[in-house]
Amino acid sequence: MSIEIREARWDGEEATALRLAMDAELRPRYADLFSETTSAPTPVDTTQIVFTLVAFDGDQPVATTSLKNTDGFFEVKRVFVAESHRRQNLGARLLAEVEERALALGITDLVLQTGLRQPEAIALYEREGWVLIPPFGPYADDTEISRCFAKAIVPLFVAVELPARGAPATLVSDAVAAIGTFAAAGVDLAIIGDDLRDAPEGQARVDAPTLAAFAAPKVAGIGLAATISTTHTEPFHLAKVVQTLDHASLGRAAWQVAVSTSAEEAAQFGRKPAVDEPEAWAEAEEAIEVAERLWDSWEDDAEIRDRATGRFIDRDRVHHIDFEGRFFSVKGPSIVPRSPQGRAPIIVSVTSAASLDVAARRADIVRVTADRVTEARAAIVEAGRAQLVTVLVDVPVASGSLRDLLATLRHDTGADGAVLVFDEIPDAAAFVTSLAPFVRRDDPTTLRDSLGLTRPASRYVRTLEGATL
Amino acid sequence: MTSRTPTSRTPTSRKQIHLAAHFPGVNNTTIWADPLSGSQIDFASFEHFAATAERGKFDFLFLAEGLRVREHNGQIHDLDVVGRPDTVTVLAAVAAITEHLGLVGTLNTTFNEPFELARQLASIELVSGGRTGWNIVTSNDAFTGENFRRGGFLGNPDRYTRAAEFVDVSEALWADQKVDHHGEFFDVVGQLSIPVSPQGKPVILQAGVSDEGRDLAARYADAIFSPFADLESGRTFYADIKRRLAGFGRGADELKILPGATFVLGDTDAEAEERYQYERSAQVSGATALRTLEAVWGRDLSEYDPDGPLPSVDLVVENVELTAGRATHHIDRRGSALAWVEKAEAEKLSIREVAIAKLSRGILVGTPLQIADRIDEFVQTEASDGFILVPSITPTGLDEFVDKVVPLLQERGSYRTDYEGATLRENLFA
Repeated sequence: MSIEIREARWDGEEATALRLAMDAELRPRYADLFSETTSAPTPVDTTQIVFTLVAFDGDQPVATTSLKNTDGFFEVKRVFVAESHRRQNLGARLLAEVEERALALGITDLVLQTGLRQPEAIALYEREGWVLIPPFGPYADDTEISRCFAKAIVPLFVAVELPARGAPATLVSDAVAAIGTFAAAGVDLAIIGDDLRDAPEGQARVDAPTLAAFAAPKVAGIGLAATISTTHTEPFHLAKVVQTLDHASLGRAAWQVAVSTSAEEAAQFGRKPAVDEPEAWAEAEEAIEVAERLWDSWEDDAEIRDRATGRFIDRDRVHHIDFEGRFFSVKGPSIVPRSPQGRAPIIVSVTSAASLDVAARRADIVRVTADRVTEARAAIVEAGRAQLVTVLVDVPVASGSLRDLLATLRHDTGADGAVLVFDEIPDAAAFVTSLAPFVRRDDPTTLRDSLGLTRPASRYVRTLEGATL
Repeated sequence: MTSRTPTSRTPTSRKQIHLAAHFPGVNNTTIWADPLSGSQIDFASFEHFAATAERGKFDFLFLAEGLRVREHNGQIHDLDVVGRPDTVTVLAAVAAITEHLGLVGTLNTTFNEPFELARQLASIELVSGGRTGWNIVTSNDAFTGENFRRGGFLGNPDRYTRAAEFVDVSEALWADQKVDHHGEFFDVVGQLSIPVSPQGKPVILQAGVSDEGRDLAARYADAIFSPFADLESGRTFYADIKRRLAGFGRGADELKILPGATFVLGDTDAEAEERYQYERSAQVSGATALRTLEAVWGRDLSEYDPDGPLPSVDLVVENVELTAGRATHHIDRRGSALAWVEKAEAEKLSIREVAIAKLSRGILVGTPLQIADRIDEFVQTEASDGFILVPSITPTGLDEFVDKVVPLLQERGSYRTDYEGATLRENLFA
C-alpha cells in the first residue's frame, strides 16, 4: 500500500468528508453527555487554519488532520483515519508530517484536544511523546471531558540555578551530584549562584567559579555558568577565570554577570563605598567590554610553533586591548589563549532598568520574570540583537506543576526557555520526569551550540585588506 | 600474630624526601619545539601531569603565574611558550580528578584583594578536602599593574609589609572568624562562611631570597621554593633559614626548603649527556640567545650572529629594561656583561654558547640511579628537604622520572610508597 500525504483545503471535499465520518463515529460515544444541539462541532474559523493534510491511498482519501492557530496556540485538529486504514501507523505518520511542516514554519510547540472517551487517540498521542496538560485556551473550562496534550517540537532551553551554599560537609558533593543528575535529564545549563554576603547560620558558601571548575571534569553534557560580580573584582581576573573554565569544561562555560551594591560587600574589600545599582551596572558594562576584548585578544591561530624562526606565537596575532574607560583601564592581552567557545556566553538577570539596558546590549542569555518578557524582547529588538539573544524566564520551582508550566511556557510567557531557580541545592532526581518531554535529546558540543550561536571570530582578526573584522 | 619482613630494605631513620611537580612554564626551559611537546593550555595536559605526579606520590602540583604576557623591547615575547590558565580555576578543576595531590598556586598579593583571594583559596580547600597551597609572590611591577584598576607599583619595603598584612588578614578569614581589620594597606570587614579546612589553612610557600623575603618566609611559610640547587649554596641557605625560624619561635622542622630543579634522564651516562646537550640547544635557540644578551646589554642586538663573538661591554646601555613581565631582572648590567664577555673569551664561546651556559641552572643530569643518589644526598646532608621538579616537556616530561627515579628513592627508604595523610599539610610534614 502506498499512502501519499498532501496539503488540502480545510473545506475541500476530501477533508470535509473525512471529518463528517469522524463526527458520525464519535457522536454516539458522547450521546449521553450532550444534547443534539450541542453535539454538533463548533464551527471553525477557516482563517485560523494553518494547513490541512489529507492522506490518499491511490485516489481514495483515507485520513486527515489540520493545524490551527487558536489564540496563539498551534493546535492539531481533527486527527482521523478511516476505519479501513487503521492499525497501519497512519495516525503517527500524519502527526510526524504536521511536526515537520510546523517546524519549517518556525513553530516550536503544538497542542491538541481530544476527549476522555477516545482511548485509542490518547494512546496514540502518548506513544508519540505528547504530554497530558490541563485544558488550554478555549477548553480551559472543560476539565471533565477534554483531554489536552502538548508537544515541544523544538526543545525548550532549560537552565537550573543552584546556590553555591549549603551544609558545610556535603555542599560540594550535593552540588556536583545535582548538576550530574540535571545533565543526564537533558538540562542545558547549570548556573552557580553567588554573592559574597554571609551564609545563613549553619551553612557554608563557596566561590562560584571554583565550584563550577570542580564540577567541569566530573560532569559532562551540561553548560556551567559561574556568577561573578564586577563591582569589586578586577575585570582582568574574572576574564581569565571564565576563559579557564571554558578550557577546563571543553567549551561549556558561561559567565553570569552580577553587581554588588551592599555595604556589607563593600566593607569586605574596603576599596570603595557601596555604589547604587545604575552606577554598578555602568561599571559592569565596562567590565563586559574588557572581558570580551581580552577573550578576543589572542586570535585562534596565534600559536604557530614555527621551528624555522624559533617563534612560539605570531605576536601580530596577540593584541593589547588598550581599554580606557570611566572605571578602569586595562592594557591586555589576556594571559589565557583563546578558549574553545571564543567568547563564553554572557548571562544577565534583569532586576532593574539599569540591568535591562546592559542585558539588551550585552547578554547572550537574558533572564527575566514572566511579567517582563515583553519589555525585555522590546529592549533587545531596540538594541538590534533579536536573533542573538535567548530569553529565559525564571521559574521558582515551588510554583505548582513544573510539567504543566513548561508545556505551555513559550506560549504563555514568550520566552525561549526557563531557569528553574533553586534556593537550596535540590534533590534533582525529583525533577527528571517533569523535564523529560521538553528537553533536548542530543548532546551539543559547546554551550554556544546549544544556544544556536556560532563561534565568533576574534574582533582583532585583520582581513586581507588590513581592516579589522 | 606478628610477622617480620626480612627482605625489607626500608630503614625508617632516613630523612624523607618531598617532591613537587612544577607544570612547565613560560620560559625557555620548556621545549615547545620537541615532537613530544603538547598543549600548555588544554585541560588534558593538566590532567596528565597531575595524574603522573600523583602516581609518583608527589606532595604537590605547582603552578607559576604571571599577570601580564612578557614583553621584550616593547613587543610581546614570542620565542618561548606563551599563555597559561587562571591559577585558582585550573587548580579547582585538577582537584576534581585527583585524590591526594597537593594543589599549590602562585598568587600575587599586589594584584589581589585579601577577602577575595582568601575566599578563593578557602573554596579550593573545601572542594579538595584540604590540599591547597599558596605560593605568595609580591610585585613592584608597574608593567603588570597596567592590567589592573588600581595599578600596582609599590616599592620593595612596602610590598613585603603589604604581603605580611595580606597573609594576616587571610589567616583570620580562614579561621572563619568575623574579621574587622583596619591596617596600613587593607580595611576588611567580613567573614568567609567557609568552615576551617581539614588542614587548618592552606600551606604557604614563599620564593623570595632577599633579606625581607627570607624573614617573611621564616615567619609565615611552610615551604620555600628556593633557587639554590647546588649543594654548597643549598646548605648555606638551608642553615640560614632554619636559624631564622627560631627568631619567630618556630621549630626547624616547620619549614621545608625545596629548590626548583630541571632534570635530564638517560639510561646510561652517554644517553643522559646526549639528551642534556639536545635539551640545552633546544632551550636556547640563536634568537633566544640574542634576546638573552639584549636583556643584559639593554639594547637591540639583532644584527649580531649568535654563533659569533659577544658584543663589546662598551655597548651596554644602563638603566634600560628591555624585558618586562619576568621575575628576574638584571641589576648590575655592566658587571654582568663584563663577566659574560670574560667567560666567552676564556672558554672561546659564542653568543649562543655563553647564553646556554648562563641559562642552565639547577639541572640534575644522569641515570635514574645517579639522580636518585643526588636528590637523596641533598636531603640527607641538609641542602634541601626535596625538590620542586621542572620538566622540560609538557605534559609528559615527568613520566620517566616517576617511572624510573621514584622507585629507586622508595627502595632506599627515603621516599614514601603511599601518601601518609589526606591533606597536603599532613603529607608535607609526615
